[in-house]
This record gives sequence, C-alpha cells and structure tokens, in this order.
Amino acid sequence: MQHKTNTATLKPDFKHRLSVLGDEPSPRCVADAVNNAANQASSLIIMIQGQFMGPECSDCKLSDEIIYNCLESVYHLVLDMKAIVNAYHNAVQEDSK
Amino acid sequence: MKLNIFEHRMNIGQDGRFFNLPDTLFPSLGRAAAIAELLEVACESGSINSFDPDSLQRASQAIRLEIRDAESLIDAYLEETRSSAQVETLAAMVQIGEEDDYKLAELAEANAEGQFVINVTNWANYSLDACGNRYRYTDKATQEILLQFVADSDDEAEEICMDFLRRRGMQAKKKKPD
Repeated sequence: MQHKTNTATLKPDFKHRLSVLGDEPSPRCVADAVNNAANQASSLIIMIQGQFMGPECSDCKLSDEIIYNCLESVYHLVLDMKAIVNAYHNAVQEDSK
Repeated sequence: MKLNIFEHRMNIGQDGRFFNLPDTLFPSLGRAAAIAELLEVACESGSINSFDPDSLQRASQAIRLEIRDAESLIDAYLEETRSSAQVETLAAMVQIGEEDDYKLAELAEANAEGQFVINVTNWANYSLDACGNRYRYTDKATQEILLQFVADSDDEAEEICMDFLRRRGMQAKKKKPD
C-alpha cells in the first residue's frame, strides 16, 4: 500500500529521429530513417578517422573526451537503427496476427 | 511506430525517472559539442573542399538532432517536475482539508487526473465511510483520504471508487460482502 508522489511517466518526443516522410511502419519510412542514421554515422566515422591519420599536429588533435563523445554519438546512431528496425519488425508482426 | 523506441537516448535511473537537469541534458549537448568540434578541427586542418559535402551535411544534421534530443528531454524533464510538484501539493490539500475537505478533495480529484498511483491488491485495504450522502474513501494503513464525493447509495459509492481506480490503470476488486 503506497501513495507515490513521483509517478509521471517519461515521454520525451524523439520523433525527429524518425523519417521526415512520416512515422508509420512502412518500408519507405523505415528505409529513410535508417538511411539518415547510417549516413550520419558514416560521416562522423570518416571525420573521426581523420583524427588518426595525416601529419602529427598537436593543434589538430582533439581531446579524448571529444573523441569519446563523438564515438558515443555514433554508438547511439547504431542503437537508433536497431531500434527502428526492431519496432518495424514488431509492428509488421502485430499487423499480420 | 512507438516513439519510446529511443529509450537509449534517455539518461534515467533504474526506476525510469530522470536524475537531475545536468544529467538529463549534458550527454546530448556534450555529443553535439563534440561533433561540432570535430567539424571545426576537420575544416581547420584541411581544405573544406577536401570533404565530401554530404559528410558535412550529415555531421551538421547529427548536431541538429542531438540538440533536438536535448530540447525534447528538457520538455519531458520539466513535465515530470511539474507533475510531481502538483501531486505533492494536491496530496497535501486532501490531507489538511478538515473543515472544508469536500471542496478541497473535489478540486484535487479534478486536477490530479492520472497522477495518483495506488497499488491496489485488495479492496479491503481501504475503508469507504459514509455520512449522509457524502462518502470518504480512505487508506486504512495510512489513514490518508484518497477521495471524497457524493453518492446516492453505497453501491454507487463503490462504483465511483472503482472507477477512480480504473481510470488510473489500477486493479480494483469489488468489496466482498461481510
């Protein structure tokens, strides 16, 4: 028996991570959303790679923290893709029942 | 598609709630800043023309979306903070409302839509007391008044209580006859 006071559910709106074509579970929207995330991730990786090649230049080297955050961003983009594909798969399965 | 699929972007505790404002916002803003710095250094160290324009566009998009994440998170954080504060205020109003408690409870009921969470496993944990046509629904353990209302009969009063619980997504069992 409890009367909780902190009961609000968290509902941040991450709709901007989905396709601009819409949020319905259609192959077109899923492909667009995954493509967007994949393009962002690959662009970031290309730029991170630039940090590890070319002439040594202390001014051009980013700190570990910056590199970590960039890699974290790429990691989240990979998780986004996984989440979008899983959500699409679940939605299609539910529809077919 | 469900929009809560991006839960991995929320920095929350095991109980599903936010920690505090810095912990909520800094991860997204930190990532946005890091990507911006990466772009800055990439443009400083080489010619801007050496980059595929698509890479620059996508990296900029990544920054924009990280900032949008932060905006959404702060909206959700503020909503949670406001809701918690409101529930605490309303609970206090119900508890202190001795003289004009009916009016206070009515106000609390009107404003606390979806805010009260009571783990109901057994209807018998509560008492439903009547004085005339006024009813008081109380938690037996804490003596906390959960709801006060007017009903024409005991059956109607029970229905109102059960509806009160149901609307909050809680299980309610009908009172067993003594």
